[in-house]
Amino acid sequence: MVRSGELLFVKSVKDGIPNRDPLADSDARRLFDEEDGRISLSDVSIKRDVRDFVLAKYPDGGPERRHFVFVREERVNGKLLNRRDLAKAIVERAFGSSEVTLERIMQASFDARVFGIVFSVKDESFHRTGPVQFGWAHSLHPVESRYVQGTVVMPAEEGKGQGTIWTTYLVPFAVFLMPGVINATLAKETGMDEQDLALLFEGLWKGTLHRQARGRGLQQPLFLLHVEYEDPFYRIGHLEEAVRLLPDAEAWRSGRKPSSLEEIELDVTGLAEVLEREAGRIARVRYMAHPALRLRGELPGRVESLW
Amino acid sequence: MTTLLVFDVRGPLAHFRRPDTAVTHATYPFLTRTALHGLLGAILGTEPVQDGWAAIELRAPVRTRAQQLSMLGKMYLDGSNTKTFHRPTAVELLIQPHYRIYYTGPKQAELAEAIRQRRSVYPTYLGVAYALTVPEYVGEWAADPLEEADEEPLLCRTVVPVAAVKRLEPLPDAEYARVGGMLYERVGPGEYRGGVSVLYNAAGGPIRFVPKPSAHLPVRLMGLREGEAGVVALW
Repeated sequence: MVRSGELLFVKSVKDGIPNRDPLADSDARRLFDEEDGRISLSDVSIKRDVRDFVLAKYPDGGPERRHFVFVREERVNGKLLNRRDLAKAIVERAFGSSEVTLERIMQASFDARVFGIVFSVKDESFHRTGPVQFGWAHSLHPVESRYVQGTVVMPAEEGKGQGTIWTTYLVPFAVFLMPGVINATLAKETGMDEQDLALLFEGLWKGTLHRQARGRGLQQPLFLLHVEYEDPFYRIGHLEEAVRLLPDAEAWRSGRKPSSLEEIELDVTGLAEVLEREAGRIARVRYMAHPALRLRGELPGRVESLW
Repeated sequence: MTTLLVFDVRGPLAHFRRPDTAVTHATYPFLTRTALHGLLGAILGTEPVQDGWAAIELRAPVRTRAQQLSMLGKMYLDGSNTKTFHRPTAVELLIQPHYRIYYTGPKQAELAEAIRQRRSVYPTYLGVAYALTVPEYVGEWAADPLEEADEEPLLCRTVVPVAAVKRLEPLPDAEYARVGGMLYERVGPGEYRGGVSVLYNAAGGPIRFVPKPSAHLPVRLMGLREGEAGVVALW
């Protein structure tokens, strides 16, 4: 049984932008004003990290044929499978029959059980709200992106004497924090279980490492906290507001910005105070942290080892 | 005298989609009446709570940003296109919204207890699932109905339907704005009835106006006796 809970996930990026804004020349996503200076990553981007990891780990749905990924691009002979054909293909692989029902999709698809599903094709329409919802990730400090230029050595066409010039925005170093919630009522409705929860956390951590590309930069998972509540309807909420990054914003606006993990510290003192205060309503706290990440403050709960 | 349940909802972002926008998802400038009903239903684990009266106060300026997201293509979803998986979709987001809600109605005691205990059957969010929020209990404040046919201008803390406003009065630093076509009530899944035009202060403060009896849309103006001073418009 999955308990209601909350999660916090911290990751860093170096020399890249994991999720760009096409409306701003593919610069970093900026929701907040210039004075604030933070940049953001959409929940869609981080869910994609998880889905791509699960797909890479279980391309055939895993040994129990229940970890297929439903939201994905699959082509057969170059032709994209549309939603209905993909559903048929997944159900066929999981059950040996192509009769698509909501129950079968939920049983076979990890992401449908965890993140929910909207299925609407001719004559068939259903949806389930996912028990796991991520907020957007926001940087824990102001970020200044850089516009850089380079050249491709290899000419693009035969007969051309030199390579082409490319330009892009990148962020030298940034640390992001993402909140999330897990709802027990919805987990019952979708059939999400402890195995799915474990795979979700593995997907968050390893998916961040797995989905690398030059433009996305070097991504590093740093910290993952999971709080479970005794009461399925209870939630502290806004846990991300209790976490700070050191040095503070002024240092990030100065000419001596931190540029590596060794130069930062995650201050969880406020978070520890919140968790201690609400201890009577908490069933379990556990977290994992990158070995090189310095934590300030003593969190309650158990430190879990990395995979 | 009436007692109003008072609570806050806020977050880094929100999106209350205008139903008349397809390719680009524009947002209403603040929490809609129908979204509020859904939020109350999520707390209790029921259908949207439409019984009762509610007022919406903007405690932060209305600021928006457009972001383009890679969503699943509509034609991919319905099977009519087998070329493109993604559809770039521009979504207008409200940034750092903060609302104070005043509610009175048959579910008041139940809602007050749930919000005070920070309990909710389903997750609570500001219009879209990625705009997480948690309702924060402020109190239960006494309020008195205002006398009708008074020509004196009121200082109203909340947004107010145009139908209840006879004349707007200027206020320093206020940015009065009007939003039209807000859905009035839900009649079933994906089905709504009626529209309402609403006046608000985009700078996030109060509105000063001379009221009038609203012929088509019921609006109750109440003066707060406890908590912060001012009038709220419940509808």
